[in-house]
Amino acid sequence: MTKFIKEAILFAIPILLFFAITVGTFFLFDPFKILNEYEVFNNSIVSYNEDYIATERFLKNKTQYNSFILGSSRAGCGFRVSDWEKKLGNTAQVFSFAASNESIFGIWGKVRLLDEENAPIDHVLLVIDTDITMKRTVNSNGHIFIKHPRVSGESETAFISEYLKDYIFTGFFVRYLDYKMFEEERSYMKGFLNFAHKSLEEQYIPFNINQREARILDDEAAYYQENTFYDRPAEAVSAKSFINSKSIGFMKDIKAIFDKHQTNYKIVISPLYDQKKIHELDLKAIQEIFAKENVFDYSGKNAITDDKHNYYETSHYRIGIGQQIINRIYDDLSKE
Amino acid sequence: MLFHSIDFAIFLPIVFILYWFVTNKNLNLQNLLIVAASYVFYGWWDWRFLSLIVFSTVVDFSIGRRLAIEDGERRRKVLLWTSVAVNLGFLGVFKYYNFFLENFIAAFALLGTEIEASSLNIILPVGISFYTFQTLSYTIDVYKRKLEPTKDIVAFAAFVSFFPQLVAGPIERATNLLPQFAKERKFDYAEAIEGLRQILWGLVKKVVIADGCAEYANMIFNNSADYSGSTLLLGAVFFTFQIYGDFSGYSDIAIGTSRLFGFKLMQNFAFPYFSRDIAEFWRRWHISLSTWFRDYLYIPLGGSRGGTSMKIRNTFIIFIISGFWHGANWTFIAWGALNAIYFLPLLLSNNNRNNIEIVAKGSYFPTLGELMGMLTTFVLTVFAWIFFRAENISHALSYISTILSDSLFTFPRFSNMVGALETLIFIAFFLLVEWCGRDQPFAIAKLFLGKKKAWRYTAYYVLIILIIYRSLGNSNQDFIYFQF
Repeated sequence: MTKFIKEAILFAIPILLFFAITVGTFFLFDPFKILNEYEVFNNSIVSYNEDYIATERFLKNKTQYNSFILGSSRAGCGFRVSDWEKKLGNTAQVFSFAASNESIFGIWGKVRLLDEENAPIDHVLLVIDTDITMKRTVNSNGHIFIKHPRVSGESETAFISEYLKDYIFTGFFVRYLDYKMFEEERSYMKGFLNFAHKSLEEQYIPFNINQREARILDDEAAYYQENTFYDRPAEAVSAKSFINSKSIGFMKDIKAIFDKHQTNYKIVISPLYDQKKIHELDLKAIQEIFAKENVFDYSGKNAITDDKHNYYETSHYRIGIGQQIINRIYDDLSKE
Repeated sequence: MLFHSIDFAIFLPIVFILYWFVTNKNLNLQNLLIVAASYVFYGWWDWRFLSLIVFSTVVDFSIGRRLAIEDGERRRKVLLWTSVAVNLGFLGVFKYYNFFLENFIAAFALLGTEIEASSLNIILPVGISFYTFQTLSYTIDVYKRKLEPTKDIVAFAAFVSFFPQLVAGPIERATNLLPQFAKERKFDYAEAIEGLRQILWGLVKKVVIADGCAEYANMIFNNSADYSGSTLLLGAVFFTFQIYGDFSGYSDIAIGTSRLFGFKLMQNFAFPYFSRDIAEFWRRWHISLSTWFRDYLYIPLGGSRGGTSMKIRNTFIIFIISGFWHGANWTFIAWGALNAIYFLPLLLSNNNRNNIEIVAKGSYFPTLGELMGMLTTFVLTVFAWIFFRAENISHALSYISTILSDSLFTFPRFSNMVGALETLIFIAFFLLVEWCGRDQPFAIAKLFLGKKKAWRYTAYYVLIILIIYRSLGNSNQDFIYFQF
């Protein structure tokens, strides 16, 4: 048996060596900035997990905020904290709790976290995307999307091992270590490393929106010539229905927490470039839970979605759109 | 739990150490450890379905015990059919319920009657077709008095759930595997080393060949309307190697893992793509299933003993059921029927046992006749796999009609051609190694064995590095046969 074990170890040397290097460098360099505490997440060549960063930022400064923007990167790009703060008045301290590819599971986890942390939830702007929000009712996969353990309720070990898996098995470590050693940008690193982040300003800006907005403001015509926008069908198209018993359960939980905190909330259905109207069943379910007067549907064909200049690309709408929507919601309310 | 996952890489050494260092003094304890490990292995995927395995185990063990004391033929038959009904009942509900329901509704719709019934959202328990057939073999053999029923429920549970082959075979016969649980196991160094080598080759087949081919086969089959005939043909060839690498790779890892624990499983694949005719292909492809059908269905039906019509009937039955075993879709039935059509001329002309030995035994190269036979069989097999892989019959037919169009004579075009070329080079290397080791139970069984240790280990390291290299960037693909 001893002979076999020796032989098996000899047999496994390349595997052991491989894991020693990959696991070792993962814990040594902390490429995703999840193992240690960081004040600044900028100046990194690794794409951020906005969910993780937002949650960390909230947990560090949780006493400061009483109003929250929840939704995906679309909400993060489109709704500026300052625009909403202006409408809410002097006492409002808005925190953007948006995350890439945000799901109803993630929103539910965040509202639950706010409640657990006894944060005053005075105002909430909850932005629903017809194509992604209700699609996923479990934790997301991959280092960019997986939820902060405090949001998902899963263990830190599971969270770190998801990163470790991505680091090793997507070949991420090869690109990362190559760049770390030689500091040269190579074509095969594209999609893994994000060199645009290197030059970011000191202050953390979620979703890197300032850079995109600046490029448009600099030369709008050139920007829209460089970026391709597909043609939408002339006739009205409905989005798929994704709502199921699980997502309804999550929404009911969210509503119960809102009621507990006497939250003033607004539910916005995103004006997506695809111009697909939210499925009537989904809209009905959302309205039934959150009350019709709190739901503002901007999906489908309308003045916002008709104009491609309202978008950075075919997924994200621009900062000004959030402002327009907020203005409309609050101006309409004040008229009433 | 997947064999090529980190989970399994941690699980296996733990079970191995417990098995040989902690429970090695007590056979019952060793068997109990196997049962516990197997349940963890299976439950890792979905613990809820463990109840099916436990239920099957209890039912078949109890029926086996009753058969041992029951002499009346009628009662024995009732017991046998109870076991068959329970096992096939599970299979019917979990695997075929929706298929039959949908086709029933469609058949009535053709007659002008609308029937309202909604299909169920049923999850197919992993490996249900495999362990169902394994437990059935036990009851049938006990019924036929070929096997003494076991009194040891732990050994029986270990036989039903033995983790190396639980979810994708080989489908072991009770007569081969069950007695091994009753025997004291001693660690055998040579067997364990052979096991490691077989696991290594299985991983090469799965990660380097099958997963590499899967990327292109999936891309081409999923978007077949966008490609030319030549690209679709290449897609079918990729799938041909994907399914072989995937399934025979799993079998190699299963057999190799069993050897580490002192068990001998049957060979499941014997270099089928070197077959000179379809009959030989079916003696070399998924041997444990083919022989299962032969022994428990074909021979009881009369086999090839009757007249021509009986031979034709039995051949179609066996191939169609074999196709249907793979999945509840008409494509699998068409695949089975097509193989029956390939096989029948050989059977009817008494040429189905011409090629028993491996091709070109004792020489480096095949004769021209053998080469032509291998190529023809390979082409026929590739053609049949199109039905197996297609979404439905019309997809298969349109796929084939595009292959047979003028665009067959154009150069294949699709994204990442460089990656595809790399995969084709790996296939060529793989075929070369398989050819060199074709008279062995697995291709690298004897490769480098006579050489110095340094050479041997260099070869192992090259294969391991290849596996690591091909793992990077590849999402962990499930084994295809898990779905059956």
